[in-house]
Amino acid sequence: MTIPLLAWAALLAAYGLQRVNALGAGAAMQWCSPQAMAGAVRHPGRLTATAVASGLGMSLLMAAAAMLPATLPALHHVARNSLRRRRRAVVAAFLLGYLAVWTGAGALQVAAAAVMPAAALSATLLALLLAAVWELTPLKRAALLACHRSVPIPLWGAGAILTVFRFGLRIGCACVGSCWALMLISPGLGPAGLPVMAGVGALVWFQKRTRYPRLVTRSTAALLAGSGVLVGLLAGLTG
Amino acid sequence: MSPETQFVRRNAWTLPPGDETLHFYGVAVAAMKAREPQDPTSWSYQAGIHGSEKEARALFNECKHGSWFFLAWHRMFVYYFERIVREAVIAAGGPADWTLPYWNYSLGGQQATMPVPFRASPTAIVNPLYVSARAKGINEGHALPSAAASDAYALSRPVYTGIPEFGGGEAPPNQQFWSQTGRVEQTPHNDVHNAIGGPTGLMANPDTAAQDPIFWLHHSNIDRIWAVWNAQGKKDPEGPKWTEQTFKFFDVGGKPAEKTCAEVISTNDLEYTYDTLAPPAAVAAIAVPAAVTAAPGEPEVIGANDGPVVLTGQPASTTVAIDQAAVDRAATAGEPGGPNAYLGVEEIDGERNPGTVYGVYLDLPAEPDEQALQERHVGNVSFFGLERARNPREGEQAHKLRVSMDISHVLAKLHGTGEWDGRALTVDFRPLRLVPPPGEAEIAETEAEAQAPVQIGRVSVSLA
Repeated sequence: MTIPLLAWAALLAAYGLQRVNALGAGAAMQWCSPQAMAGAVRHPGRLTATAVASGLGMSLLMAAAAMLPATLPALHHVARNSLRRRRRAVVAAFLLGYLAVWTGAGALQVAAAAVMPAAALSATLLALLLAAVWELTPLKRAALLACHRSVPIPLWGAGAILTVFRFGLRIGCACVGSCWALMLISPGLGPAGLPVMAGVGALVWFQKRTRYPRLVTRSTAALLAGSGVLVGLLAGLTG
Repeated sequence: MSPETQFVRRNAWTLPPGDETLHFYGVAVAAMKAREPQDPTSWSYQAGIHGSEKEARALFNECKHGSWFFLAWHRMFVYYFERIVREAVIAAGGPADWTLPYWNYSLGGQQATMPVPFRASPTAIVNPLYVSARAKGINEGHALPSAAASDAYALSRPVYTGIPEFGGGEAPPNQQFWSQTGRVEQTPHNDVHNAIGGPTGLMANPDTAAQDPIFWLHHSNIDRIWAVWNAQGKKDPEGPKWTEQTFKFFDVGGKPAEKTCAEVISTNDLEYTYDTLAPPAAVAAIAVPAAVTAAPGEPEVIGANDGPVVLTGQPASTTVAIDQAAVDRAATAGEPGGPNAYLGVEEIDGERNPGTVYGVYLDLPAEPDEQALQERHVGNVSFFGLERARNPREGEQAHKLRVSMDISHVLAKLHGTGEWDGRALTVDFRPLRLVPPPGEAEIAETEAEAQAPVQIGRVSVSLA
């Protein structure tokens, strides 16, 4: 579980962000502890402090695990187009904006969990079907395209930091817009969610690079819908 | 013709009297236009392989721009097209050794005007080579501006890979307009597309460019420039990411065909050559500092302007401030032992290509004479592909356009005359207009399309 977080840590270290990295990764690991994840599964339908914390933690974990490869080009754009001596600050500003969006998405996820059915398999079934439908919408394509759009980076002053922070927000929104439905799948699966999360990460990376996005999104939708049917059958068998 | 025959592509402006190469090209164009649009050897299908605004067919919208695959993909594209045209020429009773000519506008003078058979439009008969949708003046014999048509700077570049280098930067094989445009792709390729197409012509848009018969002579010339660059002993990429990349096309009879980049490095392997591979004299006149004879490292940005520049067909100017910590290094750019310096024109965005080519100049005096313009000219920007970059097709990714040019040699000169101390640079953008025939006035472009704004997000200076 800590592998993706360690990957982010290595990335930040590469940009000279050792201090920020230690603080951020430490906090995220607290949130994403096994106890917190278990709490989220054990208390579906109830908005407890543990559930809120674990929901937010899960959201950040999703961002860390699934989005690292897909976010590298944007991070590279920010770092490469800034003064070398200011790279720490601008990369930190980008990540602040980017992870703020995922934290917000996590808050929404927690709120959704409070009103969703208590059975985890039912929640997973709903998430699979929702993700399948979302893959087929034009909004999904628009969000994917938005993931690739860059902005000019000023070199000096507060304007540079603000621009990069806003860029982080924008890329974060594009990523959430593209992947929010996929991210709903794994939380209800407990420990089995981790390989699913890794698969989602690979899928997100592939979707951003493929030559045939329509084919890939349709195939993804079919796969999700098929998985939904299987989960539905499983839920029926287990009563 | 026997398989050993080597076809020779010749200069369209110096074909011998009575030569029928262009006549039979017109015959073949007419024959291909008469074919069904779903036939891969039809005119519209071949043009659609480069780009199409209409329905997509197999291998449509495959052109590679803003990429180190630009040269190889277009060499294959022109090669298969030439074979298809040759078959049509032979079917019409033409010569079995028919070969696509090239238009070497870089030679200037009369040769910078479009070859006459493409612009003549006899009213009594249809001329298949004539297209009315071109920039004002092109069909009337106005010449391409030398700064936009010159191949000298591209040919002077010592290295293939890189945005400021000859062939462009590394890009995924399946992507278009990836912002890795090399020097030859920018000038003369993109600039000539724009100068011929203008604000509304076919050539200014990759989705329509190949519908204009002059497109193929333009790309024959770009292909020739690559062969000339290689003939100077300069090397293409050697790694498998480039050499083993395969692209697919249609051959004679609509038969599927494919080649790798490695298979098209030598034109001899494709059984053709050019009538001359001698570099123009102007290449030798461009002094490439010793510092830029090797592949540069990753550039480090050290300066930028303070906001977007909007171009609307008129001259524009901006000032690039250099970071205090880098002033001393910047001052020695281009000098022996000093770093290379690059000007980045970045995050170029706009709704449509206005068809204007801008020359880019450093620290111009208020009233520059021709000598100052020549000495301080560092490259051009033009916006071929702007629409596709903003609104990519299925499978393409969105990128704003970007140009990078080596300014080391100009900075070294300015430093030598005391005009460059490493602190700030004025960057001027000046439209390059078509040159009218003697006695005629320059055409003032007044169409609204020509004034469509294009925004340059940032102008930067980097050192490597």
